[in-house]
Amino acid sequence: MVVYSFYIFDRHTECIYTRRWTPRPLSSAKPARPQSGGSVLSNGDANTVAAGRRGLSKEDDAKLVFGTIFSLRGLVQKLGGDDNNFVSYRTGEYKLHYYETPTRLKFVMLTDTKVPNLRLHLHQIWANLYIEYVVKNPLSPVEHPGGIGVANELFEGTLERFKVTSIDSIGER
Amino acid sequence: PTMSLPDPSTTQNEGYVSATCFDLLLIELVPMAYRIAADLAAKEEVWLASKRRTNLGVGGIGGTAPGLDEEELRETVFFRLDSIGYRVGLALAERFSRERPRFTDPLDVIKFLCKDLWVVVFRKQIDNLKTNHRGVYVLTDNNFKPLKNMSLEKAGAGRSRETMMQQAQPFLYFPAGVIRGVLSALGIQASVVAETSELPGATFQIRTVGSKP
Repeated sequence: MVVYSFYIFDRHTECIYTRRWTPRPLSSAKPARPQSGGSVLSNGDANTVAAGRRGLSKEDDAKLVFGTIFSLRGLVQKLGGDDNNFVSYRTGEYKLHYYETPTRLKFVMLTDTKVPNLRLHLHQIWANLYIEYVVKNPLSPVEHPGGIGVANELFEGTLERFKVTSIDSIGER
Repeated sequence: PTMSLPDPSTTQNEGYVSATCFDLLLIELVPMAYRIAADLAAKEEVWLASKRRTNLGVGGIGGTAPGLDEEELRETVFFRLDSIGYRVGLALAERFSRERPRFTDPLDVIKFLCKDLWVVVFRKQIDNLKTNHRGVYVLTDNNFKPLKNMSLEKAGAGRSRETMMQQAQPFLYFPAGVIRGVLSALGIQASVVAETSELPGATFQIRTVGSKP
């Protein structure tokens, strides 16, 4: 199971965390390299190359994803009533998983199409990683404009481990 | 007949407080102390300025530096947090040394601090205790609770370690004050210096009055 990318949006509709595991395009010989960090502080050159098929910068990417989930969420609620919640969507190339907390924090993950729904995993990322290492981090501010305080060592390290142990191994029983 | 007051530590399913609430409260202590210090400094500056204007002969006290500089700010914050910790420590010692006989030896007091009190406040014991038997004790906690979830973005290894230690320091002032309060309540006057050289560990150096280094 391949995870392509992961985003967190806060309740002010700002992207506070992005993480990419997309393999680089075939033209370069380097192996897949994870890129991370707040959307504002990204390195322009490396991103446009590693953006792969989409060819967008990180900021545009995050905005596009946010626009999509925001519209879909609104649509779903209008069509099915307030209790209905948008959970995931699948295209020919990828599947997008969505989890929103009561505090309007939004977790989005893009994976390949064969992955079952990862809502539970996103919930775990929120409860066990985000809460522990961002909310309860004395050095991380309460609000995260531009992603400040989210991409710290403990959070990224445990996120990486979680991804490897829980998600990459789905279906490899 | 003895009065039997309900003891929160023995009643079941009552008297529990969320550990997260406690953690978040302690975390907020430090920014609050900084805000209060900056606020008071600003007010003092306004007051001084108004005095100078009305020429009441006050002018010139404490220099004319606008507000406090970094060092003074840190000292104010230290003093505030340490005092808060001291009062809390006094009360904690009062409450949790109830069932024990009087402490005869300073070492017993330190052991009480390391085992019983640390468990009450931080849910674990001190990992290491060293002493020179002449009044200096060094307590080491390898996984200190307030520092457990602390980390920063890894922007450039060398320099960020220092800044991380610097930023982590204020979160040790309150626990250091608690230690000082506990010791004082049990009869030991001491000074406490808290340091962290590697997150999430912390060391507390206790120097009792009249000790030799």
